[in-house]
Amino acid sequence: MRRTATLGAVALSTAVIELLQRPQVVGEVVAVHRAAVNLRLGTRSVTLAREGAGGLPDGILLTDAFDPRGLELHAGLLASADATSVRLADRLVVDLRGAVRWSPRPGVHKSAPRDLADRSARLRAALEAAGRSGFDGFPIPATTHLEGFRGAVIGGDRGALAAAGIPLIGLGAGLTPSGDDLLVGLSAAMTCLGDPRGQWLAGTWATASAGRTTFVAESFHRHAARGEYAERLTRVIGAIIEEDGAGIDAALAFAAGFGATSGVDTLLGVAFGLEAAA
Amino acid sequence: MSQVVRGAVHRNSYRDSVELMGMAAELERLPGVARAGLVMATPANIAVLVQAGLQDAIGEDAGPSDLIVAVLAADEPAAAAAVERARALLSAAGGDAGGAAVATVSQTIGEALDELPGANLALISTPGTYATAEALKALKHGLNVFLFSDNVSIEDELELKQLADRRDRLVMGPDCGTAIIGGIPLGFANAVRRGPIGIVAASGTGLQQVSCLIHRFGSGVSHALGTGGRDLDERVGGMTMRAAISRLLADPSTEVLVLISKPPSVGVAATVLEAVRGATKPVVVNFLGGDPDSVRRVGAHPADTFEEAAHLAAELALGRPVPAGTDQDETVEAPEAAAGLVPRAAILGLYSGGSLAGEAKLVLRRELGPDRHDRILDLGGDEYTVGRPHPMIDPRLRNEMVMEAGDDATVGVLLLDVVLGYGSHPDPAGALGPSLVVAQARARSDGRQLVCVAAVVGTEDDPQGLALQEDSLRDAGVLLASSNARAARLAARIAAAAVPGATRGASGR
Repeated sequence: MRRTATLGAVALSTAVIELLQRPQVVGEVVAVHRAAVNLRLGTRSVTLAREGAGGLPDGILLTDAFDPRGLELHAGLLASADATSVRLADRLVVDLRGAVRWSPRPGVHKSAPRDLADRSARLRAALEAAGRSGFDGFPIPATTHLEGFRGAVIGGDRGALAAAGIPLIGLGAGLTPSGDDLLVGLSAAMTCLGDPRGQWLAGTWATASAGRTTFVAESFHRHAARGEYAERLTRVIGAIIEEDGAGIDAALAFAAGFGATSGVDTLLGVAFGLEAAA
Repeated sequence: MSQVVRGAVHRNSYRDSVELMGMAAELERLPGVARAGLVMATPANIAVLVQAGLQDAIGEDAGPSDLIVAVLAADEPAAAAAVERARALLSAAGGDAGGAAVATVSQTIGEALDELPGANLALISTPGTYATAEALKALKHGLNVFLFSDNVSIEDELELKQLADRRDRLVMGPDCGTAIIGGIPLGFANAVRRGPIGIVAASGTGLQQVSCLIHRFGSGVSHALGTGGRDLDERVGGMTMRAAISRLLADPSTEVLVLISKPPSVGVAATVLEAVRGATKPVVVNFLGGDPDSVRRVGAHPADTFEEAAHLAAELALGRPVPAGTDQDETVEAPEAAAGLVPRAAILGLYSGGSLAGEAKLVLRRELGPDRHDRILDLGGDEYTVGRPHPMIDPRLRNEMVMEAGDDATVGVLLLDVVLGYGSHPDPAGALGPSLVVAQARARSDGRQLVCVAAVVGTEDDPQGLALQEDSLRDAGVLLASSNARAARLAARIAAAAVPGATRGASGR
């Protein structure tokens, strides 16, 4: 007889609370990682992650005692949730009652610096100097797509930028393909800068992402369309906007620590977002 | 020297990119392997693999949830070894829902029952060829069955339902798209409040419309049981509907019953109605196009439309009158809305829900008479869904037809349904809106007006959010009604106002 583990949630996104207002949602485990588990609950994505991951728009954060593989969690396992708990078959119950609520909607930085284009260039240069040019792990270089995309960023027309972004959806390696990370990073930067085109672009890409990318990436596009982003991402954008030198350092730390290749790809998008908002 | 491309598809396999990069690097270290890549089978990645000449690595039907292993090698043995090594690495890492790694994922109904011994229902969604066998196994394990699969023969349906009858179990389906059991949605269903109204429906989107309107009228649903569209066929005789009625009559959480069907066979309708004669609970019946007197004769309440059924049931459950509400059906001035329509402009209905299309046809015939050139199309019908997903999931076909309607000088009013809920497109209004804007612009450029009328079937608690979806449609210039029947009536009033002599292009909007 298996013993069901019970863990208390430390924090959860207000976007997840909305989902759990229903009597019960059911779904399955989609992917299991060293320190996180992706769930499909109803039509939505929810991520159970260790606290160190920081707030995720679809996230429920647990203490570092959370060990998905030790709990023998695996893809396809039945998941269900209500307002007080998340249950993964007979393996794990996550008690949500004591969790702190966290909003994934970032504040807008009122005083955007005038040298956004320069900051964007410095961010890209710093990433390249660290040997991270984006789209890592992809068998085919993505430079051709990015050249066209960069042209649309510089052009400034939101329709053209939206159209140029669509071929990037689902492009690249990983659970959240690089192109999706890049687009989310772009709209996050524009949203943090108060540029309304950020939300418009995110909404367009969210609509276009249906069936074009992985379930988890599609979910991140939907959160972006609602102005919801990862806490560590919006903090690093804030650092870049507020204080240049330290911001670049924070960005490099983010690139090293966020996801596998996602950090770099997202920051590449942030650089494009700064340039688009300039 | 020519090289060999080989690959494999691992279904429902999600890995992070560091794992995949590590595996790719290991494969590239194998003798004879020139390139190896492991990527999700998204359209963009597939296009890149094709451009790179690696198309032979891509399996048929691979989708964004599947992982492709692509290998370019000097010869066949080297390629095969690399593909096999990738399989072993993925298995060792665990978590592959589609591969050999997942020994713990239930592969049979028996295994699933070992994992979840208290289960009393199996949801079966396999190709039709295998569905009957799985449903029979489920029944023999004592489970009720929700049979989403279509392409099950009527003989098999009869066999399943007879076995279910003998074992006192319920078979919902085949081709059962929706149900809500004790608040848990199955298939396409909406997030509706729990309450005292039980629904039995041989009509998928009819069930969705009625349950959403019950929610809007302030009541709620105990259970909503689908029967499959053929249940009220002469050969099946309404077996599931009668069994479901019997369960809801005995269910203490159900106080009012609603029965819904597309037009049933007359004989079967009579048999089903006999099952509610003398019922101790009020029963509302909406058999589209059915005879209301036959319903009254068994002591039940006839309803003309899905909305009327929901309204009556809510009033019976709440024990007081419930305001039906007003919407643009009553507030839109039809002559004003019709300004710019060509004389005798026809209504084109592009529906994702078959039952909703059926209801619209009935309403239009009643409002405008039979002598019209209106067309109401059920885009979920077999003729439109061969080789493509249902329009509630994939809006592309309807979007194309909407835009074509902008070029069709005979069409003056577009009538549409937008169905929300679990299983439906994540943003159906957002996906439809740009096509509507394009269609209206095309009509205007030709000096005509195209009026768009729609009803959204959904609730605020649905994943897509009712208000957000309605706002999105309003932004696209759509006149909204609060139910499908009202939308059809509004379309009829506007089309009727497009009298000969109306000025082309008068609206100028």
